[in-house]
Amino acid sequence: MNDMSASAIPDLNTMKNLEDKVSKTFEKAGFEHIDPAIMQPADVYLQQIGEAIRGRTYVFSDINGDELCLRPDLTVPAARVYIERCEEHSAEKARLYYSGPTFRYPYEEPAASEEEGEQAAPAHGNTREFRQAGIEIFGKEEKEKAEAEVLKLTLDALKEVGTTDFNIRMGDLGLFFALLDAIDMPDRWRKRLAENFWRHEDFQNILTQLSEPHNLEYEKEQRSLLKKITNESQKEAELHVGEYLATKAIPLIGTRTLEEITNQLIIKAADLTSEPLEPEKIDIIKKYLEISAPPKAVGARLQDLAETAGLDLTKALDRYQKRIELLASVDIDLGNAEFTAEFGRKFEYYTGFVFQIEKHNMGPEGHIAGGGRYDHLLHSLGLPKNMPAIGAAINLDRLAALIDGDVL
Amino acid sequence: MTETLTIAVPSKGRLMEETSNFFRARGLNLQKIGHDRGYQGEIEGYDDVDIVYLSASEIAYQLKTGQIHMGVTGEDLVRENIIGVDQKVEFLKKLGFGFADVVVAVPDCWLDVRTMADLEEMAMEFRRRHKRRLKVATKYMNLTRQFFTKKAVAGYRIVESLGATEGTPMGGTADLIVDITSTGETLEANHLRILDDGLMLKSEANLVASRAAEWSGGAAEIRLDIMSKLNSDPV
Repeated sequence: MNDMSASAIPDLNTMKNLEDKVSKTFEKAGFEHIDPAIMQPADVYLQQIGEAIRGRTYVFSDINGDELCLRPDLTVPAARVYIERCEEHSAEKARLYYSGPTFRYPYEEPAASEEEGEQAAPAHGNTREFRQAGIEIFGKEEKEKAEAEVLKLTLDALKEVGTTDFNIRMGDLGLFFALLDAIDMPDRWRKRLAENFWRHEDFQNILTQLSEPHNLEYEKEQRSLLKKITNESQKEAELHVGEYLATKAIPLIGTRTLEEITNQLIIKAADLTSEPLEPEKIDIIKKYLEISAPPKAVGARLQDLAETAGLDLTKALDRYQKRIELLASVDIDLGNAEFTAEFGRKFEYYTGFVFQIEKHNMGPEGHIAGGGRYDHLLHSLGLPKNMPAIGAAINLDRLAALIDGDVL
Repeated sequence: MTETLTIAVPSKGRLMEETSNFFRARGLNLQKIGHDRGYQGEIEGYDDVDIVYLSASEIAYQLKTGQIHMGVTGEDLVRENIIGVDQKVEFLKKLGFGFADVVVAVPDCWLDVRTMADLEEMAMEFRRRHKRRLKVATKYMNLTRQFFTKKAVAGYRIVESLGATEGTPMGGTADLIVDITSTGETLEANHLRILDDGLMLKSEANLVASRAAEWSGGAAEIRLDIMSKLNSDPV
């Protein structure tokens, strides 16, 4: 443990100065300062992000055995502040900002090493603890407008501290989901593709699976069971499955009911007899994911793709164009921006527009800020209904390291 | 103080006996010092080697911290307890006993779940219906997390289980398990089935060296001597 630095912040003056300027920018734009708790119930993260969080977060137990963690980000803690507020009085809209330390393991686990961007450790200083300043807009607002505003404000904050030389990377998960919706295929496949979108390898595997005859590797007896339940009613199918278990002397143990097991088997049985997904459809998905172009050129490329494939993407495209216009109208220079269809796949809770700001010519190491839309998070954290949310955070330690000897 | 090499060996049961046999067959006689129930030992004829008898998981821990130079313990315990294992230790030799497969096993009645991919597909449905993630009982929290991440399975929570893990699905504490098995009998008795691609690790007893231990002085040389014996054919 002797490699732990004694100070949380290597250069306190630079950091204070940065934090001050960034906070003032947020404050001036009408955002309200909040101070979420540093210690969070681990359960929230475990339910939301899953066990993978243990690979990068300080999770520990108190003497009651309750699991707590040091916050690995500030988005979830800020969302909890908002939810708590909604329980007290029905405040629906909120524009919040924060600034403070977050905590991550400096080690990388082998299996989790494909993560990058927001998850990466800061460039120098105390690698277990680093500061983030960020904003969140919760509640119903015109989506594209809120997105343009968040990006603009993030850029303003960076300008305020003297950083102007950066690239913007953008993506839009909403476009991908719209594309899936427009392609004709069984709903269960669409769901599988959508739910596995951020898992690169798995997604490829599913695409390959769907493109082949669904000759799953079942043993003879199971195949005949699947045949039996194809096109059967749920009730009939359950009888067959129950009978199969009885002949094999397999008892029904655990939480899952016969109905649940049968339901999943019916889906597999349907796959067994379905025609594979046509190569043209797979091709559209692949072509879309290959798109990487200046944001202003993307509209036309998508239009082309949609027309060749005979898909109706009008709504999603309109929203995309509208956002581009709004970004231009608030003087965001899209000349050094790049839209990448794949971008945003790595962050599980994003649902739409995503962006990342990188210091010019620095690659991932130059990543200083990022954000995006995450419309499902509040509901899954306990808010009774879905609520739009978008936010962004600046990695202050990274920023301090980059500015060091550069501007300030 | 004269330089010595510290080797930790399992302090009880089959592992202790087989370790002792393995060493003896190659001309290294392990013997306890003092009371038979004590935990200090030596190798006959080697004044510069200390033998310490420890539990198998304590051996993994002390390999990580470098308190011991070498140790005999299960590969599963080393990989579970040491993050960044290749920087911390070196696997010197598989010893050919203490075999155990670390596996993912589900209730046999889950006819719809044959692979890790099936598990993830079902996990999403499960979460929608039960408002919670699948619970996986195991004592291998790190290995499980790494394997599940590799297999792109995310819809689960780990419930730490320190014993009788195979019984947890039937008892309702967990939905599936990650545990060691050698013959598969206990799994079968508890109506569990290993997933087709659910073999996480084929483990056996290993001789492992710590990279964190102090090797300067005489320890490295004594190690060479001991290793040449251990690598020779058994008598």
